[in-house]
Amino acid sequence: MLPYMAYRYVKNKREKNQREMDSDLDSMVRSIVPDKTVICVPNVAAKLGEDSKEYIPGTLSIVEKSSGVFIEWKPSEDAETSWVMTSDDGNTEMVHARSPEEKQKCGARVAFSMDVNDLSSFRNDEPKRDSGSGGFPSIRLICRDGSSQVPLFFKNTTTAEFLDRLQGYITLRRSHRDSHLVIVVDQKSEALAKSVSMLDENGDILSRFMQNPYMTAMTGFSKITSFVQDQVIPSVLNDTDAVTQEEKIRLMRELRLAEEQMRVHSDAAGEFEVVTQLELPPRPEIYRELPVSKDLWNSFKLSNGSYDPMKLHHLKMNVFRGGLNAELRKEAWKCLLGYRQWHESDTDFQTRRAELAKQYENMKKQWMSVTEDQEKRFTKFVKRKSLVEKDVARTDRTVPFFQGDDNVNLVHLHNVLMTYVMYNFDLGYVQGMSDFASPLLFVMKDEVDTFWCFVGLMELTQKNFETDQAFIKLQMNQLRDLVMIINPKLANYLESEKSDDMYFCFRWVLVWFKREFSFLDTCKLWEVLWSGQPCPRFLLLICVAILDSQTNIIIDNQFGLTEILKHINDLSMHLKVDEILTAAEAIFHQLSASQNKLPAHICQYLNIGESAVSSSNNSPSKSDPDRVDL
Amino acid sequence: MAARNAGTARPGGPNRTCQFKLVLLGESAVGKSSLVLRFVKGQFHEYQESTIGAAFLTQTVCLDDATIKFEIWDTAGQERYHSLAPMYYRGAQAAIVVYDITNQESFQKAKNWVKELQRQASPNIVMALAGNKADVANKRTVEYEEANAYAEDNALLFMETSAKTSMNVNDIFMAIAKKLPIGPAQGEPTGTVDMNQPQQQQKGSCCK
Repeated sequence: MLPYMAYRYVKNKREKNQREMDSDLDSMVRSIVPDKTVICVPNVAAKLGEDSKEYIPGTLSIVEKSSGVFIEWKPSEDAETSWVMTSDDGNTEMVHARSPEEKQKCGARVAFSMDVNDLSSFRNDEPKRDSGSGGFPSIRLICRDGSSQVPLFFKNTTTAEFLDRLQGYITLRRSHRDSHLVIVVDQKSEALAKSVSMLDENGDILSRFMQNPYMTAMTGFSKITSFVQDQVIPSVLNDTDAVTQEEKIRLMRELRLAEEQMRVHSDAAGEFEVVTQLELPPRPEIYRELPVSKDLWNSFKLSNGSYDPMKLHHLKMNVFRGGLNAELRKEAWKCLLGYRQWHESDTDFQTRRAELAKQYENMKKQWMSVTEDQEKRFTKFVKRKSLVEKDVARTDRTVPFFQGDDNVNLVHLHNVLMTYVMYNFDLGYVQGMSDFASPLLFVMKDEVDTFWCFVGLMELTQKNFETDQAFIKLQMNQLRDLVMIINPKLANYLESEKSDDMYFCFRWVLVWFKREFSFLDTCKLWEVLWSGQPCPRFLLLICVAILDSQTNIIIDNQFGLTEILKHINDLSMHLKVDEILTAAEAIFHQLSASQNKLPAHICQYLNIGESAVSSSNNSPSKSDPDRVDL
Repeated sequence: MAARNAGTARPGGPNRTCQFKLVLLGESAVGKSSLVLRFVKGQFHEYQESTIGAAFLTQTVCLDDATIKFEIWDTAGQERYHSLAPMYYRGAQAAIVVYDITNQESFQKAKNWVKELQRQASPNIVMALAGNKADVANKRTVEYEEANAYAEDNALLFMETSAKTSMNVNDIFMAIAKKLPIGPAQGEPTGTVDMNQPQQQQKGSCCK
């Protein structure tokens, strides 16, 4: 077969030049070679999201194809295989609740085949073998374009054999600063590193500085360490993983020029020290508490059902520290969102709720009674109605509460949003509002209560939806300022990659992480935010905490503007809410302890320091200072 | 699907890989995200959630003499987020303006996007008009002839598509790929690309 095909090919193309014929022939031959599976690891499960306990069993392979070498994961084809849920003791249980069709659909969603040359790095976690929690070894592949594959868990084996085979095609190196992060080394830079190392042997102080910044600084630049680090050496140079070899040569030359200028300056000034970077204290260790129980919540009440104003701050701190038991949300959210006033007795609230129910029904009648004829002359209304309908149809349809085609909950969600259009016609409906409304309906299961909680929530968030987007821009700027203080290395990197407008965080901020966590984790995160503790704008500290945790991945992979957006978007459903909350709280304490050195505008919007308004002595009134501009 | 795997990259031969930024624009819920998802992952979700901010995906297609890597920016369609769009179409070499054939207003909006791109985007941007949801032709309100005439008047590529059935999805991306400038057909690229530097955004095509 092959000789005949080759003969015909040559015969038809004899006019082409020899080189072209050779390369074409090579291509034709290679396209006939069948795929070769280099390694196939069974029982490798994909995990859909961080809060999920369900894993999709499948196989992980390295396959040589004519077009290249590919890493592939496919779900198990055995229709009888059930999804595996792990218990705390490491045993596995079989889950039979999902239909085979549903399993197939989800498996196909996460299956992948990626070219090995598109791999930029991966996270490799190997839990201690005898640990009681019984975790599995896992790998998460990170691509050059910033996207990530779902985490893969090795149920019956370690990752070692797979990684050994992988190194037949690419060179791997562990990150110097994150032992779980493994970087794919570019072949060209490795060869260059050898020649650059020759330059490093000249032994002068600047070369030694680049080899060992800390030690050299201690001995040679003790009085001007901060100045050198901040002003002379770009922060990227302090981390060897991130310095390319050409960059190293260029910066070494620049550094020698800068040294001359610096010497002159320090001579003229005598003893000379510049502090241009704020040194923050270490972060305290923070723990999350258990969710507030019904009994604990009730202990803050007076006999008439209102809340003891002397204990209100303590109650809010408890909500901040642990969130709420699910059974408590229906009651507690009414207070946290200002629908029920803290000072209201049960009787007073019931009376007022009856009145609010009437108001709701009246507004609802207003839009339901608009006739087709009226719609022709009511264009704004029609546009908003259309937007609501389109978005309700695609809001949280994977959450069981909103699944299915004839789901009455979708009707309720539609009704609440349409009524809000009438309540706040100036704002109308903006995409993202349905993301805020759906968890409220899930908890309240009643249109009236959902609506008035939504009114309260929109008071907190509606500035995100204004036409000029001014509040979004303000928050992006504030976020950048915070990153500059908490993580200047990352801030400088983002600026150098033209990403310092922070718009890759837009989705986080617009809908308060609704797309980033599971539905239940979103509920938990939001009630923590609604507590108003420990400071206004705590949402931004959560952003900083996440970005801080991603610094090494972003810089080690040398992600550019597009890859950063892709990486941040791909964190969706893979963030651990408690870890992030503890990190954000620790950052708050760092800032609070440094209030004397913080810029005034940051103290102001975090309510830290002299400008702080006391939040422990709340007067029971409709305007709750804790709820201003969360 | 076959088109995506057509041809084979030939190491050392005249084949080149070129990277292009492509942006999708259009009214809310016309199917921008569904088109991208169908093209990149071969999937369709009946209730694809609305896009907030922007999403970014990549996909590679093979032409006879080059491999094209699309950097695809999928944007939020609601008017409220219009001011964000220049961030995403700035520097784009290609754009797909999407409307819904069952929604006359979305076709008007698509025309507005075309005008904006003609005024403010790169002068040589390759534009395609996509009339999506062609699978529900029984609810059609935008006639093929009208859209085709508009596309011809404005030198746009035009196809009616269906992300649901995958009709013309690969074809519209392939048509754009064929229209994009690949650069001179030479054996070796001029100069060398520094593989240590992060990929820079460039207005022209970028071959490596």
